[in-house]
Amino acid sequence: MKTMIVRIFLLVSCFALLSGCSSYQTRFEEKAKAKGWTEDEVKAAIAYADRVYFSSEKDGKFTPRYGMLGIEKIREQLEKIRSDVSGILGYENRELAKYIDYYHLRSDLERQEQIAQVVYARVLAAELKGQFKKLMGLSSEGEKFGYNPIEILSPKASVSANDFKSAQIDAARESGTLKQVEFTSYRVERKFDRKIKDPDNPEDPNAFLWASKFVDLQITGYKIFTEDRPSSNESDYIEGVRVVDGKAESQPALRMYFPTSDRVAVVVIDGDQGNEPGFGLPDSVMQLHGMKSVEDVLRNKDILEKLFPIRDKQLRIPPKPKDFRVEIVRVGETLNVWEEAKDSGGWKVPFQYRNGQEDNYNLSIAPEPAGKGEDARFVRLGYVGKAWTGRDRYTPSAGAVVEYYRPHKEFAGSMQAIEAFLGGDPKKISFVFPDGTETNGYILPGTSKFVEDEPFAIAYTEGDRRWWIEKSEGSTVFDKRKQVSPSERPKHH
Amino acid sequence: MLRKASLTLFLITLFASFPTFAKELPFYFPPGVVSTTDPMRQLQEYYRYMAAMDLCNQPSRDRRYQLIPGSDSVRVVTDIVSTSSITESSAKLTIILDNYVRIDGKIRVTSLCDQRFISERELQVVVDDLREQTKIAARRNFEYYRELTNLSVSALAGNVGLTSDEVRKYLDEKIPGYDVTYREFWYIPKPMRESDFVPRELHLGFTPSSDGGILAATWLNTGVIYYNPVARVSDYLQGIPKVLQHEMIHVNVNLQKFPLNNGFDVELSASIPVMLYPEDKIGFFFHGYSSLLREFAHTFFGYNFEQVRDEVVRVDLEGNLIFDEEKFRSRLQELESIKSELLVFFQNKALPEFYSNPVWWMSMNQVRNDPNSVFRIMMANNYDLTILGGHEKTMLWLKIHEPEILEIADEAFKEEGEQEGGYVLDVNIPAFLRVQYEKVLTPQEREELEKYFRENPEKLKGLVSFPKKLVEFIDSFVANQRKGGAQ
Repeated sequence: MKTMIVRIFLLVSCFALLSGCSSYQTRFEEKAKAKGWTEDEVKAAIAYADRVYFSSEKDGKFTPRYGMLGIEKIREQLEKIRSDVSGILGYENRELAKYIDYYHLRSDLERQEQIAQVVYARVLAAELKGQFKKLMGLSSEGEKFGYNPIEILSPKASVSANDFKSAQIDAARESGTLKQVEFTSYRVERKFDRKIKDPDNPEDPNAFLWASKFVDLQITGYKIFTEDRPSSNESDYIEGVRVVDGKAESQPALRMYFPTSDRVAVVVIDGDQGNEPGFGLPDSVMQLHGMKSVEDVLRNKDILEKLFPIRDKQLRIPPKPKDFRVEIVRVGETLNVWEEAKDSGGWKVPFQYRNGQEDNYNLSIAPEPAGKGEDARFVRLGYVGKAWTGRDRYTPSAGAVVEYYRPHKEFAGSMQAIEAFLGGDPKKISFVFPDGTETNGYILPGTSKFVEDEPFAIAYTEGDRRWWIEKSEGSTVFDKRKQVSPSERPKHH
Repeated sequence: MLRKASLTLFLITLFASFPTFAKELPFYFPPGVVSTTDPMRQLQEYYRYMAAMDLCNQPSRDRRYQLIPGSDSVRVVTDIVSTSSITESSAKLTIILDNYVRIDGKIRVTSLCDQRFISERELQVVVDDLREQTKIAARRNFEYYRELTNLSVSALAGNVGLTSDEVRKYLDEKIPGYDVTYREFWYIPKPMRESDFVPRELHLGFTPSSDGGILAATWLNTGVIYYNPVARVSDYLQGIPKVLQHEMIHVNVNLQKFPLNNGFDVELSASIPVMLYPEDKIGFFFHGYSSLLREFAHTFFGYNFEQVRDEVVRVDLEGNLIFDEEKFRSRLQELESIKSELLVFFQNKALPEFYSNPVWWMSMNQVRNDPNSVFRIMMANNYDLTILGGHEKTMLWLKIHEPEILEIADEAFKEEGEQEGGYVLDVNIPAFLRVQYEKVLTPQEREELEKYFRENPEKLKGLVSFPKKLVEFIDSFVANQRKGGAQ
């Protein structure tokens, strides 16, 4: 009887096989065989150890020793469950995502994730409680903190936020001697904070989306006042509260105690927000040196990351429904890449780039080879570009705007040579006609003898895109536009 | 003694064979199929049916297919309630005959080796049979698991310092401050219903792109079971729908559900109770999923399978196994008391213990790298050992060596986490995969593949997220190996 469960789940599991990790059983066998025991003796010993080592006896009955498993092992198992669920709730694995959605499993899996998170929060808090007691100097030498089902599972006696408080601070608060001495707030709202995988192209390492960031935190320092003028300005207790939708959360996300005279801080952080399972129970307990003021908290990147962790859920972005259209383009046919203007005013560069004198530009030309039947050494001028500049002539203007002008008829024919930037002047241009005569001059603001008064096309950059706006034949406005590469120039005619 | 045993066997066989004359069998049954609880006959016939049906119902490594069961497949919505799935919490069992299509008033059936027409009446027999087997399987599973919740509650109560009634009172209450009930928090199964075992969709079909040898498949959380015609015939042979019962334990989200399925041996769990039933004579003895049960039978109850195998197979003539039939019958009969003891042990002790605190047991499984820690530890806590020449001798030897055993256990347990190197995926290996992996690839191919992934852990890491690519990679890797070997 062979049974296949979800093949895709199993395929993932299958390759643990390849890791070659040894089991307790194998290690036991090796050690027992080394004692010279027979195979049957080894089998008996292994089974017997399951009783005498893994269980305890009371009134002739054996029960598993739950406390023998370090609490961190339970936490690791829950992390694994959470990661399994989270892994398949993401959309990176298209095959899995399709399975989940086809069978309508997503909401139940999210529920499973929520349940695992509640259990995890309780287990982690029980684990951290021991750590907190040690750091605060409240545990006795050698005291062990193993898995205790009553502490974690019982509704009556479970670990809570109260286990992470300081009796000294609580007493001072009650007696009125704990007073606020410093305060700071920290707020960041960033639309483009970090790149994340593009759910539409999960396998493409160069495809990405921007993820935003929003953090809002209020940090308050308190001092226990036993005299009117304390000898130091350092807080005895620092508390941080997240602000969500303009409201401070009901419980502090950060508690910082200073249990010893050497000012080593014991920091308790709850990374879960008010609407998340685990809110109120810590996710991290650590010791930090050099914490003197509320500003020191803001300087500590680790604390801020723990207070505002990036959740897997935030990365679960369903791919957009994709559509496509069939296009058959035979070589030689062109596609219309132009976008028509939405009104009669046509497309415009949406920002100012000319100075008051309208003279902040350099000329830019690209002579093209002369036409068929003409001297191959000759060139002709398709356009003259005015490349607008910014703070000086070497810096492009906002949007790196380039206007393209057509030359007047007499300068549009074949030439021996055409040169711009003559003598280093960015507005000077010269033409050498086929008979050897030379004309040069300046293309200045206003009417010019060399080029038409109005540009026929303009290129500019807006955000991440470079646009090309152009007048159709007979049009007085830029009636069409297209997106182009930054190096786009007018096509030679 | 021998005479008495044989007589009993005869009576059981006669009883079990009786229903075969009562009704018409589905058309896909090979002619002359019997139902029997005689161990020898069951084994002989099992191999014959497999040989007779394999080609038309099972793909193989070199003969894989793709099929598209769809809107033209014959579907019958029954009146049997299914509450097994997440997909639809209360549904009616739908029987789907994947490759049965109505054409011109007839029903065309496609198998993996032929295509033929059957009549409406033949179709009705197939559907009625599946409907009936599902009801029987659901009833049998329910009878076995009906007290699981209560027993798990009792086991949990002792561990959290509450009475069973107190635990029961809390079960459906929400934990203060959370939108999660204590039942969910404790992972205690809901009170079992017969409908929890009924699939939402029961397909009579194949797993055409697998490597073969799959009698049935369950897609977790969805309520979908694929039941191969070979499985139905095998179930008929044993007189109980054991393959179907096994799948219907997988399908029950109250018992097996992602993500908890990754933390324990779902195959062994789904093999209980079926492989312990007296009707199934061969599963306990031969099936890969019951290897731990055989280990228990040997270590705790003294039943030596290796010796029995050696005794009963007299000679192997190139695949023709000549058995000592009487010896086989009597040895198999001796196993019955063990099976019946284990049937009760799992029902009342081991399974309730697991379901009373599954997260702790999954953690223990992880630490020991053993998906069956709960069963091993609970066996040791409930039975003395007898493997070393009887109870007295064994327990005396163990008492004498107890200090050494404790020392070894402590060392072996604390060495947990030290791996032999390479990339380690933090998951348990389901028995199904273990069997498939070993069956499909040769030892040399496995060694080469494992060596490659040990040397290129990042490759494995990259591939596991994309199962299709992983399978393609393994296929091409193995193909290249074979090509290399041929040259």
